[in-house]
Amino acid sequence: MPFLQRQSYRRRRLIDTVRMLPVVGAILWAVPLLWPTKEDVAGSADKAISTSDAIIYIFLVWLALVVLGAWLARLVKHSDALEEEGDR
Amino acid sequence: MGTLNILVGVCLMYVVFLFFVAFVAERAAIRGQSGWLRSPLIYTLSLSIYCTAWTFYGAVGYAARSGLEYLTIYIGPTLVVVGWWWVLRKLVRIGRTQRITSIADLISSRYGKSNLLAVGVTILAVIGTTPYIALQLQSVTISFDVFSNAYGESLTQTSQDSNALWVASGLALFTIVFGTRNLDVNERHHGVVMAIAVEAIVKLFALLAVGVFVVWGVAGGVGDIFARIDSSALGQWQMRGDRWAALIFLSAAAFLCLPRMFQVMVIENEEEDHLRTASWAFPLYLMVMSLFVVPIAVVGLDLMPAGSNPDFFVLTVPLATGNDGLAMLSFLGGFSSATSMVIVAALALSTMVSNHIVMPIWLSTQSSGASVSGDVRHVVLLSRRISIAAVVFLGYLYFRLSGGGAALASIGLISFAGVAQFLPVLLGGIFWRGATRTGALVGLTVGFVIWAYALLLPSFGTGTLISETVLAEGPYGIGWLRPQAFFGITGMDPLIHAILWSILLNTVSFFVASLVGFPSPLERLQGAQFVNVFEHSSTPQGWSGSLAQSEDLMVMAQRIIGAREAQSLFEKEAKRQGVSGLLPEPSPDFLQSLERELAGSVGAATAHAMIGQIVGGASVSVEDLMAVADETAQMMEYSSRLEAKSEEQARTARQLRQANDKLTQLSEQKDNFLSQVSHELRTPMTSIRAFSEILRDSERLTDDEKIKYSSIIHDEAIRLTRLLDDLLDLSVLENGQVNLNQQTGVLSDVLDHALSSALTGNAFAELKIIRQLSREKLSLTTDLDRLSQVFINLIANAQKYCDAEKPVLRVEVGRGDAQLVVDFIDNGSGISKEDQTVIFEKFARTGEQRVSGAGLGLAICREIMTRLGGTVDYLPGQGGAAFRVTLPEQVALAAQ
Repeated sequence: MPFLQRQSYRRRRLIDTVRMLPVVGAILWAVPLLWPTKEDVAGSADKAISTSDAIIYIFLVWLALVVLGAWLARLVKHSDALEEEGDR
Repeated sequence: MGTLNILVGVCLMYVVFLFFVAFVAERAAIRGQSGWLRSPLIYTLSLSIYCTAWTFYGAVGYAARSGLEYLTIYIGPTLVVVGWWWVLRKLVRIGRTQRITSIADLISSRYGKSNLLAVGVTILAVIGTTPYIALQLQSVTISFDVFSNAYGESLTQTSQDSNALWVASGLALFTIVFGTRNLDVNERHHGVVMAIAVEAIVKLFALLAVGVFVVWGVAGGVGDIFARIDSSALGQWQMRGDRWAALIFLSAAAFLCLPRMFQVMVIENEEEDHLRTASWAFPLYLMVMSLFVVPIAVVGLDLMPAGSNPDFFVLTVPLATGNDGLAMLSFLGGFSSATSMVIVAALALSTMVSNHIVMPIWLSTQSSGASVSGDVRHVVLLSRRISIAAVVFLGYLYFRLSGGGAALASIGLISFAGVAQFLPVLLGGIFWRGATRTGALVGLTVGFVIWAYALLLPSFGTGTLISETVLAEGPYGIGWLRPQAFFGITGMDPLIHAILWSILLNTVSFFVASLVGFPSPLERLQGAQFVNVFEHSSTPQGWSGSLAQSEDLMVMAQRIIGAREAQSLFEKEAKRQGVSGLLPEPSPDFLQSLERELAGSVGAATAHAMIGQIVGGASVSVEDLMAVADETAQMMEYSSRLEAKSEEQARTARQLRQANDKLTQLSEQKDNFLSQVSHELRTPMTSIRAFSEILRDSERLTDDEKIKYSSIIHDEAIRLTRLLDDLLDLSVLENGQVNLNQQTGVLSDVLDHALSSALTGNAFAELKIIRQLSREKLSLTTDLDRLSQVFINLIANAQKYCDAEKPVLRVEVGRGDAQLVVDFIDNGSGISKEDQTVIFEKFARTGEQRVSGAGLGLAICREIMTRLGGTVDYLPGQGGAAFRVTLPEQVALAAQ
């Protein structure tokens, strides 16, 4: 039945999203590796990233991960329920 | 000592409160009212034992020293938990299906229930955790010290030590009371989990309270605190990239491998679904925990005199600003962090020590074997209790010996790096079937040796355990083995250096040794079980025993899991097997499940050994492995059979549909026939009635008229008779009551007779007949009258239905394989495809009813031919209507 197939297809893609989330988080949190440090800018005109900016960036990533994680967790539960209905 | 007394009083009250919480939770669990104990929230909060006193106090100190580096310690676990679908979900599932009791049990179970591996992991875990426990004790004592200093009461070294001893004893007592209350087969401790959940709230609340106070009480809100941060010494990004990446990796690895984390995450997990909630709730907890760390550090650096210990800003900042209540709360937060860590760590380590070291030794000293020894249950509990006390005391000892100096502060990351050595073996075990016991042993050994050599020993300070010359020039002057510059690569951060080389070489040697070695059957079985835990969650059969051993097993089980539990387990199994009495057959299934029950109490390796002692012999053979493979093959076969079956069903359904269509068509034909037959019967009847009435009622009829009318009546009566004869004939033929009158004759004579009968008196259509007389000279032995009846019918049909302008009928005689064939082919428009399927049915009449007829002729023909041992079929594709009559060869041969 095309309806069920579509459903389980959706569920697989949902799981893919769940799997990708930590990867996305790791990439976003790897961005600080690119920032110039205090030593890097010593003697040049550039300014190092200020700690407050760094805090804001890192915690925004964190918040996004929590919110996305919660949303996906809800979806996973929802699709679990559907899956069981579909199976039995 | 007044303030200190208050402090001690508050502490005691808090501890009493914890005991009370744990007690209530245990009671509720026993009475089965544990619904609220099993909420995902409790699970998430219990994970927070990751945040120890080291993170509660230490994070602020860390931030004050190294800026945002402290965040790595939280970011790693966040990524692991957010990625729950990858590893945690699998770990939890394996933990539940295999009744894993600790990380050592998991690793030993995976690699063929090897006790050597379990002992190794246990010892390494103790080495890695003891300094950490010491660190907790230190933080509690120092926080006492800080408090008393603030009130001008300085503690002597001895009273500090005795404080630590008191705290250690209290923690050991709590762990013993609630951690070894019962020998639960599932190894879950509701009291402990509830208590640490409460402590998680206390420490979060305390840190938040201090944070809020600092931001809005000391500084002037968010804007001001950001300004203060940027203008402070920490104001600019100063993170080294290698440390950032490596520490995130390290904390993620440690989060998975720390024995205490494994305990709360996998062992105490009530439901797999809780992980789903924790996947976002725990990162949220970590985020909130780390939110105010930098503000507190910056304000502390501003506020406190230079040279004060930044590790205790959380405590000293409220004290310095005169907020005694807040300081007290903060003290309780730190106390909570320390105690919950020690409790769970002691619990996890004691399980490992007792299951993998004490019990095997004890069992081997019992010469008589497991079945006849004393009360094993009691021994297990006792060994757990002693192990708890020993682990906590070891921590205390470490604290005393290290002198509580600054060396301890750096021990957190060193400890992390130590347990992170489990990571390759752990992940390899659950994702790679090829990982072997030898590989695990080699990998762990290499990793730990490098860790100890490059990180642990130098951490005690140059000259204590490792000499200056070794550090500078390498052992025996071998330059490329310098502890902090392997292969001559200098200039690396010592911590990063050690992590990189230990994990890298650990992984490589684990991999290579696994590739080279050859695993035992049990290892391969367990490997398949672990790696494919989602495909088949059952364990394969391993044991085979005889009935005589059931009693021994019962005796042993009673001693380990308790008499009542064991009896009900055996009784249930006996009932399932349909055996009368209490003792079931020791079927492989039963032995397997019994082993798992026992494993819940004493660990997989010990349980395996105990059952092995009673049942004896190698438990897994190549044949068993083959059986497992067979099972898989059978399942595949089964599914392909199912597929075939469903195809067959689809075919049957198609056939049924066809049959149904035919039936419907036939029923329609019957209705048509009935109306036709009544019409056919009525027409002659009407004329018979009419003419007989004329004959009866009219007196002035001439003789000619009389003859004419009577002959009409006569003809109509004949027509009626013929119709009735046909019906009768058909029914006789169908019932098989016909008697064949065997005669011998020549085919051409039969055809001659048939043609003359069929064509006489039908002048209205001139049917031209084409025959092959030479071929017709065949003698036949059969019922010639019946055969001729068939021919007449076919010829008459051609005459009646052939719609060509100049109708021609060809009669062709031929020989097929072992049969004689006579074809009647006309040059009309033939019979449509739909009609072809039904013309031989009774009552069938083709589309337009141009010519009258009851539709019985062909049905009769078919019946006759069947009786004669031949057939009559429609022959499609001849350019007109064509019928083929076949006769068995012997009919013709017999006469030659």
